[in-house]
Amino acid sequence: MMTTMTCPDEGTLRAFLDRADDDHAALAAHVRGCLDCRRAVRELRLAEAVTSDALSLLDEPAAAPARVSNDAYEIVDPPVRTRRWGRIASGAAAVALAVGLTLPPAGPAVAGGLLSMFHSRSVTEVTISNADARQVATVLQKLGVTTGTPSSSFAPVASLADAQAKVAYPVAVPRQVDVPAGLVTTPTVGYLAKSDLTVAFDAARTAAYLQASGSSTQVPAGLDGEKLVLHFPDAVALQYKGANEQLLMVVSAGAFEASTTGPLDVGQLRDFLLKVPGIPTSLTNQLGHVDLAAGALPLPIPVDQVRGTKTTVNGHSAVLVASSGMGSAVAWQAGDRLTGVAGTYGSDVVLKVAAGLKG
Amino acid sequence: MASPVPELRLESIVRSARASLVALVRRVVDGDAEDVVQEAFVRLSDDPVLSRPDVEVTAWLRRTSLNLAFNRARDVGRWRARTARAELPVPADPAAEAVRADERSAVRAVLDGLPPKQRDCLMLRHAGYSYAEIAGTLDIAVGSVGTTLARAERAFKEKYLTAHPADARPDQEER
Repeated sequence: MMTTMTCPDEGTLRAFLDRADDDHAALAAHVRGCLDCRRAVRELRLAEAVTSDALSLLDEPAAAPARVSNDAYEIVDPPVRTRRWGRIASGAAAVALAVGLTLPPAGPAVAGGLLSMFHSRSVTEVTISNADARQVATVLQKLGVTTGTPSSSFAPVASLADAQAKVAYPVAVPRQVDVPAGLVTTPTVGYLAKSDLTVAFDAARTAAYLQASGSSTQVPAGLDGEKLVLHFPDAVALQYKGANEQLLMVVSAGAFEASTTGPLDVGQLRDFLLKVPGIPTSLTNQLGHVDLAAGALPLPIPVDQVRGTKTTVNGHSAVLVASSGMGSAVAWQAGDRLTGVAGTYGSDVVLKVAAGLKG
Repeated sequence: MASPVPELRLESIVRSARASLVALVRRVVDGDAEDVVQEAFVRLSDDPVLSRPDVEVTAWLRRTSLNLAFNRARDVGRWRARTARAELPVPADPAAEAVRADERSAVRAVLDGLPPKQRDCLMLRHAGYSYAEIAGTLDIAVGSVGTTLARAERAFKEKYLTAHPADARPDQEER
């Protein structure tokens, strides 16, 4: 476990976070096995996240977005939480991703009315930088009003059975043999209620924004008052803690859905939003490859912080994220259940827990 | 390499460095960025650094532009007067715009309270400069950038969270 390397100084650990160090693999191995360094890295990462978030307010465009602070994708939250992660996977940015995921490969003819409602069936990754997430949130706020706050914190529940009684899908439970040594054997159980996030489009504001941006895009008929509603599922979290700040979390959630309330369907809204100036092309390009018709739910991966890769869990497409020396997480959907496993461990441990889940 | 004719050299430096300097400075002064960068170029024309290699001249320009920018932003009255007529892409909710302007000036104030090296280190890092470029600009060893950055971020976080207690919440969620 413990490597023989001497603990690096703070500056080296900071460079490690930016991958500006000389020997990243060796440092990562050391940090993973060294409690002191893990603590130091966590503290550095937190300071970096607070600073970076604040300095993002100075990025262009001049009007920075209002703050969003709820985790839309709590289920794939990595073990070390940062503000940045929470913000990216949340609020208005999540709205854009949800709308973006309505990109059918064959265009609107195929989409038609079928896509007036989206129901997730699998997951796929979309990488997004902090700056791009802010940019998306900024643009959306030019077009309408976002209301509702997705639930972001799990309420304690007395037992697994109590939690199971609240949700419609089986709660995933790890095999005891897969839970790493040093963790408690009985998990803390948490429940997250369902919640909605709504974007109400305002045709006048949208027209003003398009005109001010010099865009020739027309406001679609029926946009005024049209609402896009994102339905965030309820979820159950099992949390296993260890004495040395180790953590394993298994989260089960329902499917994610999006719907519209007016004459436009989600596909039409998508087509329009793609033409709105200011949505980063790096994002629209990625979303263009998301297979909406098959119910693919894009999970936003903050590219400046962690790396996301595709993998499979028991035959289901999954997204694996690993954060240098800090831990990893994997998420996938099977049937109507989204599942996530995260821990202060390497991806091998997390994937083993994932593959062995019961329920 | 240095051109034998200083005027030509200055012109080529202006051409190649202007855009990135304006982008950097705009984080500090919004509408005044072009002015600030122009002023830095004017100072450069009289400065002996102009005879140094390009990489040193560019580093000098970044340092000087950031200094000038923070000096200008410090003049709060002037800053507010300018935000009042800053270009707004949308005639949006004036109250919300005012809140954003306040948030931005709060961030700038915290930055301005840091030692200049730390302040500039944060600005450059956030603007996407590499460790080597940051080292060159701050005239420190590449191996010291991590240390300067770590100190700067810790100091920034402490000052910023003291001024914005609401932002401290996720900190407490940390286990």
